[in-house]
Amino acid sequence: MQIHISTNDGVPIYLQVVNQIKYLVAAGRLAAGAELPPIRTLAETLIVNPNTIARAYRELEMAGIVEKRRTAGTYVTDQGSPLAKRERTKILIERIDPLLADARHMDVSIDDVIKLVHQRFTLLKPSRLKESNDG
Amino acid sequence: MRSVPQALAWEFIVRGRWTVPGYFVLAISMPVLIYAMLRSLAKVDVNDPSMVMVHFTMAQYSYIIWAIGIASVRGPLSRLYTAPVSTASLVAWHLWTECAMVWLGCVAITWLMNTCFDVGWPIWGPALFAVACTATIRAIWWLTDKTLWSVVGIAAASIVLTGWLQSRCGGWFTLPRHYWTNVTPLETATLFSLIGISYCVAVFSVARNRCGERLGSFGIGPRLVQWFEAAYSIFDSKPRSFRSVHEAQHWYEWQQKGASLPAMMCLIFSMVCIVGLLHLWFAPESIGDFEAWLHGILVLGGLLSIFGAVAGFFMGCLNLDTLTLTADASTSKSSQLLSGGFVMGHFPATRPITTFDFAMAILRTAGKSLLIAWSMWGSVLVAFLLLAASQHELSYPIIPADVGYWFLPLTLLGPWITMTTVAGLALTGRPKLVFAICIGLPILCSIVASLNARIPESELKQQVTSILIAFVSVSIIAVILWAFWTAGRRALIPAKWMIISGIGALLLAFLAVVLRPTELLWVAYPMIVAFAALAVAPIATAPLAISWNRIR
Amino acid sequence: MADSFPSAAPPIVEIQRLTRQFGIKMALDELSLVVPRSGVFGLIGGNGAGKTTLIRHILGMLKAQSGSVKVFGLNPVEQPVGVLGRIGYLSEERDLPNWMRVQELMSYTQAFYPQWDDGYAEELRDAFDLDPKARIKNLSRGQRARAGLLIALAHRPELLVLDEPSSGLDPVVRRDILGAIIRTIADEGRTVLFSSHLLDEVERVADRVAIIHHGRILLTASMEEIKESHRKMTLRFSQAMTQPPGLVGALSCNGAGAEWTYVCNGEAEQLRRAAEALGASVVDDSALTLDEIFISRVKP
Repeated sequence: MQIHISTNDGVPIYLQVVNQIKYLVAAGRLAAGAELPPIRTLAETLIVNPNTIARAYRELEMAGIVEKRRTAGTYVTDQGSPLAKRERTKILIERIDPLLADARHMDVSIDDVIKLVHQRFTLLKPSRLKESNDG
Repeated sequence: MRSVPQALAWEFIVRGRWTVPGYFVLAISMPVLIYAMLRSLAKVDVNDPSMVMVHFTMAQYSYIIWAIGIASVRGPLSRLYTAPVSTASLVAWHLWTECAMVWLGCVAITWLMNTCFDVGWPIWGPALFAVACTATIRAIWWLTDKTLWSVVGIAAASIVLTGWLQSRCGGWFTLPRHYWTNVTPLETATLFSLIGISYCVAVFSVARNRCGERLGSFGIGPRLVQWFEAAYSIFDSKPRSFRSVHEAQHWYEWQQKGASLPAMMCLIFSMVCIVGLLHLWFAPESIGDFEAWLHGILVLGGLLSIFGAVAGFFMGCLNLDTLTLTADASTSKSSQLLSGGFVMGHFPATRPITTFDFAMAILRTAGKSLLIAWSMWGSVLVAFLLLAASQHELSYPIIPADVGYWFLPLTLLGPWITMTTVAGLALTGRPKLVFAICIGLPILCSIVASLNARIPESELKQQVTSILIAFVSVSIIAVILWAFWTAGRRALIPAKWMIISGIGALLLAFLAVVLRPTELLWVAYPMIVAFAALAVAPIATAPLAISWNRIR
Repeated sequence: MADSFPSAAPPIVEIQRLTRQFGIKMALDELSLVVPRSGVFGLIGGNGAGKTTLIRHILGMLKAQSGSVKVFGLNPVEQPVGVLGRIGYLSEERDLPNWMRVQELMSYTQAFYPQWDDGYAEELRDAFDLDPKARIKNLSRGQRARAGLLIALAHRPELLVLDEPSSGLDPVVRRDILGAIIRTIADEGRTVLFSSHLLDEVERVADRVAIIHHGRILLTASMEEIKESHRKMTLRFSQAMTQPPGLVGALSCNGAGAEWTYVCNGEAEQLRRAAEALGASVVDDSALTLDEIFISRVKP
């Protein structure tokens, strides 16, 4: 599980963890039923306070992305739920907004942007979508 | 500051504004005390061979202390290696100012002694000699920078230089017989050329040191270090575990400081052996008879008290390696040189150990160290007596009557008291206080001694002296009682130990009174009690001092 | 995380109106501080702010000139063994006895702590790659810090005190130290108090933070409260100004012309309303890093 914490932009750390796990789930890199690392392990690898990780897991649980099972592990829930779809949309919107802002700034029309998106989609189709993890 | 010499001079004045006068007092206080004492005993004839001897040792002692003081205030030259200055001028500034300072100090010391005590010390020869010695030792120091050669080089230079000075006052291997008053042109030329050669050697060596080149040791140095490590690891290879906090702390103290006093004894004995062998080789007639040697050994027993005081500084130093580290550090002010070792650092202060356990570990180390050193001295004495008996050279009584058998227990008790008193002072971790006492006490003694020498003998004077001594004794007893009372009130020492030390002091005083050799003056009794109290005082003063150091 | 600080548990450290003067310099000025049980407490402040002086009071190395210091409910000056025996401490200077070997340092330290865990000590020594036969004086700076950390951790102290643990160390050693902090509080009920001026570290691992400046506590709150209550707002005024107009709750302000950036303390909505009352529009509103909050607090 690839999570990168940054303390340079003021985003609370628990929120960074929540957003990145949401992204990983939405991108399909964390499949339904996959186990998340225990709080302590993740805290030690990320060098982050365990309470922060615990809070992130709680938020994810409330959002329905993960669930706690009786064996004390935390697992990714089934992604068919509408809640998850909404999350996916939200993540995409978060990424589209800066793209549109840039396009407006560079005087590129929205049709050209859509055309470009299509072009890229056909280009990347055969290979797996490479993630750009720029946070 | 416009120029580098100006900056260096300013630095020297600021760093040494307290320590330089301090070293001056330290350098001059010993001869002042000795002459004041001699003058109060009898009329001093400066041409007596023994007075020449006193001059010879005392002048050397003062000059050495003064030169060491100057060198320590200057700090190492290495701190200027990165300055944009040529090596030749770097050495010139450092060496010539140091030489000038030494010369001024030596002339001042001699002049003061001559005006105050009329001792007739020669001025110009010895002062020039001191400058030459400074330059030579400096050159060797830089030449052998940070190698084991420095020990060898400085020892050899010291022996040769001392021999040369001795030859000016008599002969290379005879005791000095006359003063070195007439400095011949040849002697002046010799000393000046020595200074010149030293400067050249110094420039050459500093140039090497500046780029990190060391004197080669043909692999002896590293091998010696390896050998020492191996020899040392025989003692500590097995992983030990300590049964109690006290045992662990005692190990900690003993490992660092235990060897101090026995090492000093070893050093003295080996020096005596080397000098004795040299004499035996070159001038067998000057070796002295059995009686002289016996006296020498007995004097050494008395000197144990002084060694004890020196060892007390080590015992009271809480972190010996900080002491050496800060002595290396060039940036620290000289007033901080000592504080690094005596102010309790984080590591010892945060061990969960009671102040009393801490103090007892130090006192136990001091006691053990003293016992070893004392037994070394004792076995030399016994071995010598056996040798003398086998040669039928032994005269009775063995201990001279004017000293008495009292002397033997005193050689143990005396060092214990000096060592624990000095250690107690050092343990307070207040370098300024210790410094003030180290300087103030000699000054006070000198004043008292010179006053004593000037007032003519009379009934009244004797009575005043007795009352003064009694007063000092009673004050000592009062201070010690106060220390016990305070330590008890602050729960620094257990009640058991209060009782033990009380009984111990009383027993000691009782024994001394019962076994007194002759009828004593009344003033001797408070002195005996004060002495006995001093012997048990560290049980209270050491925890108090440590507590004062630990909790600020 | 209010639930991680149950108010019922007595605090580990309780300092009330503590004052300390060195000569004429006021090192601590009527400082009060409570460190609750469990969690990581970060003490942040510039050089000479009084962090080390405060820690020395907690360790009983300095006597309170006025005010009181209680650690585990005890006075550390009067009961050094009772307090120090439950604390693991890594000093900024890492003044370990240079002449000791690592093995000797371990067995020496063991004698002082009945709860010393031999297995854990060995495990740490292994993880830190410390040679038992090596002398402390021959260790590198990082290894020396690790040795200090080892003897601070191996008796599993209730309170771990770290004074500037990362200063002058490479990232690998810093990671070891921060990892140790995290492992320590992962065990229930244990507390870490650490001072630092590397604020990204504090932001990562601290639950609660106190900002100390000129011997006073400027702010003490949980990390989240601090992050939530501080905003950076950029306001655009209708015309260029030479002096920024005052904004309620603003800690610091800089900018030029018509755009000024404020670091504020308060509710976001309230701040927006205050900005609108000044006739300005909010062009940017973002969260702050701990670094920015600290600087705006100590250097307004």
